[in-house]
Amino acid sequence: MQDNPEKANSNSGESPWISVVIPFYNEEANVRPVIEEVMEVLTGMGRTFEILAVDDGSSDDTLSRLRSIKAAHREVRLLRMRRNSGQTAAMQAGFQACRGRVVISMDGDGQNDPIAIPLLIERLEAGHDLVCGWRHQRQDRLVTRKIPSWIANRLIGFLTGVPIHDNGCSLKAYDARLLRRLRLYSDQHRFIPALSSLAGARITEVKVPHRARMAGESKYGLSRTYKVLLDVITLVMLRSALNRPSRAFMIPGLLLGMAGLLAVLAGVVSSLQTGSSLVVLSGAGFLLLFAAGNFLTLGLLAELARNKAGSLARPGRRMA
Amino acid sequence: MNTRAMGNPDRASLGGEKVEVSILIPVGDFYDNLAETHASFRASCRSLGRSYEFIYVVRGDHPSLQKTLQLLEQEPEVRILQVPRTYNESFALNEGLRMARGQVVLTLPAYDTVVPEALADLVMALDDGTDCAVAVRAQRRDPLFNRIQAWVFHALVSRVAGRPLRDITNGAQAIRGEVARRLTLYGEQHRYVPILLLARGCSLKEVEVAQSPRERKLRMFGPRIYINRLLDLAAIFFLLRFTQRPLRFFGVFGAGFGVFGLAICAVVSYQKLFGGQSLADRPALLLGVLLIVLGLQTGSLGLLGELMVHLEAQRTEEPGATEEITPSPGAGTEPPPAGG
Repeated sequence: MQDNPEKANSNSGESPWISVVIPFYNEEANVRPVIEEVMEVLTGMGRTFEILAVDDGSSDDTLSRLRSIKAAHREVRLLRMRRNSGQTAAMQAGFQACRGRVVISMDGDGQNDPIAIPLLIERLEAGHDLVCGWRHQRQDRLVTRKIPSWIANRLIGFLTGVPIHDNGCSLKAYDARLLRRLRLYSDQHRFIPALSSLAGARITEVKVPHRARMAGESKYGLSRTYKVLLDVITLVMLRSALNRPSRAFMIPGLLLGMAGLLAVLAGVVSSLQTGSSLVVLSGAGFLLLFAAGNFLTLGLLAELARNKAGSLARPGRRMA
Repeated sequence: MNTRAMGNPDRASLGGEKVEVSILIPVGDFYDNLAETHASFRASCRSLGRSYEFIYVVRGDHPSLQKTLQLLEQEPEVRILQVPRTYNESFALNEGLRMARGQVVLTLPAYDTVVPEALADLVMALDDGTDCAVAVRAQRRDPLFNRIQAWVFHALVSRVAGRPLRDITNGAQAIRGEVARRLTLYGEQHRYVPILLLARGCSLKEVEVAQSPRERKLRMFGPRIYINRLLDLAAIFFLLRFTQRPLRFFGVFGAGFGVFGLAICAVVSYQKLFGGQSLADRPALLLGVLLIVLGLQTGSLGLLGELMVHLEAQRTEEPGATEEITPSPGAGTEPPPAGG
């Protein structure tokens, strides 16, 4: 592979066509096979490329192995997070540093088969801004991985309006112009399709092969369930609040307020008719009215926050 | 800017060149004999054999200090910045960090905590590429009460920082220049610089130094000070863990309150509707309703937080979180792969 860059990246001043971003966290056993496999596929495509390996503050031998690979291949660039910052931060760092017109992201654990990369790029060039991998015949545990993931994907698809089958697959292809408008933080790597859709992207998905882990340990567990739930709530809020902040909060506020008024009214009527106590219905009504007040004022505060942020580089579709 | 530089803040004699060590001494409400302190630090600095500058950031007007300051500014290596009292200590430290040109920035207190010889140890501790070296007073001989409260405080600090820190209150720490200049401090953060650096992924080590023999004062404060320290730590704990994901914090608490409140209300309502138990004297109802309200409000504050964080993230990048390992011939620690 070493003697094969052709004209490829011999001129380091020129931007490569494809950038592949691969975060690694304690994957010493997978570093070399993963990168070499990717290089083989990309070399076969005959386009210029770069591979951005991001070491996410690994505590094992990952970094030094990446260094030696980098020393041997000039297509490989190496980023290091100063501390373990999580998959999203590592991916975002890679996205910000990459120079390609087409960007591929994938996992560093070897479960994504790079053989699918040409297919993803083909779909991208057919007029999409984001092509998501959909892990076919997923090789993971059923109860702790596949079932929760199925539920989560359905929920995310329903609530965010982007019905992608597999949000969790890291293997994706992006138009670089889309990435310039995405700033991922926290654990948003799970919600790239939804966030891209907010940024006006045309999204599609492609079935990709999936393999069992080559080596090393999985970094996931069920403990993230509540995090995903809260993140979904955030996304739903962002979806409406980024464009119309006050309305996003004030419409639910008004609905709650009306429900509250109705409840109080019903309480009064029923107590007049049957002489029953007012407390339960009117109490519920007061609660709803309080909630309404809360959301109405919150809407104004949201408007203020949005106003302070100025214009965001994300209205409509300005991809061309 | 409302600050006023005395002497020559941008001395021609230093020519805007990089110096090796910037010694930054904030002078606030407490200071010991400044002239004496300066002389001993200067002596220690000279023995180190590196180029240096002293930066004094004097907060507020101290008529008793004017004479000393006038003397100090005669020295070519000394720069003095005066900031009004209305600004807090973090602001003063921040301004000092912006002025510092050294490859290493060494902050020292204006009062005696460590022996002047500590200075050299701290600066040299960074020679191996460490980002920050914090002085730890070894074999303290100040009153037992001081040590006990320091022990309690640092037990909490270590919890927040996620690793043991033994002594961050002596004010003596050496920080690599580029790291130090990226710090932005406000509020009470000047006290917690090591924690903030750790959170950014900086490497840190503790350097044992001798305690100044003159530090003998009993440090007993009013309850306000102790409460303030606890609140500071709580704020930093929150910032470290939830700055990017406020709903993880507010959402969990909000949901907890809300569910608890709903459960109470459900039980009480059930007993009223089907058990005929009057609601009139049930304080549980009040508790339930207020808990629902609290949960709702907490949760929606979290949503607002998420909106603010998202908007902010679209504009800024976290500085210095990553570094690109630039090509250097033979950088690999392993031999190149055989199968080329």
